[in-house]
Amino acid sequence: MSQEFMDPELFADFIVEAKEHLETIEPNLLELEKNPGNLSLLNEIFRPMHSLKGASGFLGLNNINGLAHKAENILDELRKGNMRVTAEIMDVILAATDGLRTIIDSLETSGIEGLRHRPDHRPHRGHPRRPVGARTGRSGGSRHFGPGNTLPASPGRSPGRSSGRVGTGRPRGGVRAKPRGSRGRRRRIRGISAQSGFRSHALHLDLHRRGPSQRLHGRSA
Amino acid sequence: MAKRILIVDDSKTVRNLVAFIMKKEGFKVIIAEDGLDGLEKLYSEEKVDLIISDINMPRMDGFTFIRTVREQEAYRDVPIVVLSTEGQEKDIQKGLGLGANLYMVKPAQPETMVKNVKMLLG
Repeated sequence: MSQEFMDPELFADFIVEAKEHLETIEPNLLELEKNPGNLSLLNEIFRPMHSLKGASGFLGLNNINGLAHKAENILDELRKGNMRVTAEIMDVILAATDGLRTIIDSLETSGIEGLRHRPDHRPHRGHPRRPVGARTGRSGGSRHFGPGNTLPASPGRSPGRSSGRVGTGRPRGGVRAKPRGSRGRRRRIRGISAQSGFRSHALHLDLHRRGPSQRLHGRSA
Repeated sequence: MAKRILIVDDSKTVRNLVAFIMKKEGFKVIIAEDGLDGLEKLYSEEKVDLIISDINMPRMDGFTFIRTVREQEAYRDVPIVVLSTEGQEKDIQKGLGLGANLYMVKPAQPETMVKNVKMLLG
């Protein structure tokens, strides 16, 4: 049955939607930095991040889903007032958003849900580059975006299982160190890139094998 | 005659995916972008046999949508399936308490969605 759901149009829709969410998130983040006490801005950021998490999860895009989920957790803590909006927190959220943009751009241009190598990306010690499918536990291994489906790890910014190193794994504990180069990344926040060939032919969606993630809750009629 | 399913979700990706799955099963789908749009579609359609609704949506969230639907005699018995990333027990209890028949946490497997929809449609 899973083969029936390998629909490239769904991925194309997702790319468009994901970019729309980022277009909402990014300017609001910059505004939040100027007005850290503005809770309505947090809500404006939270909702698209939440939607991004939901949509990516549905398509089995676990790297995007994981990173968006962690960013959402931080935003939720900020909304609830459990954490304050500080420069360090802003750096983390901006870095996560920039990471999402990079992954989504990569998905669009190469069909690979990963971070392209950049000079400021270094594999984290103890987390050598490894294929997405090689991750342990419930993984995105059932997805196939073509032969180059690898996720280069990066210090503090890789999505997926190790993405807790963005700093989101311990939101209450604050962030110990500024993400590397985050100020530069903030300036590099950019608009929607030109449409480039979406390699739909390379995309395969296998929802059937995604794992026991779902829960059902019913009531008697 | 094909059963008609109203899909309410603010994510186009999710809407399209669920619609895609349900159309493959021969259902007719009606799409709504949030709770308010869902109500408008519900009122304008001659008949809706089942509703699949998200929770966290702009303008009108899923909880308000379900409550409003259930408050009306004409829609008391329309099966409602919640499909949401909100998977905390309090959310599940709230959804079911307001009148949803089933609460599914995203991402849900297509086969299970179809199975449950068919079950609720009898």
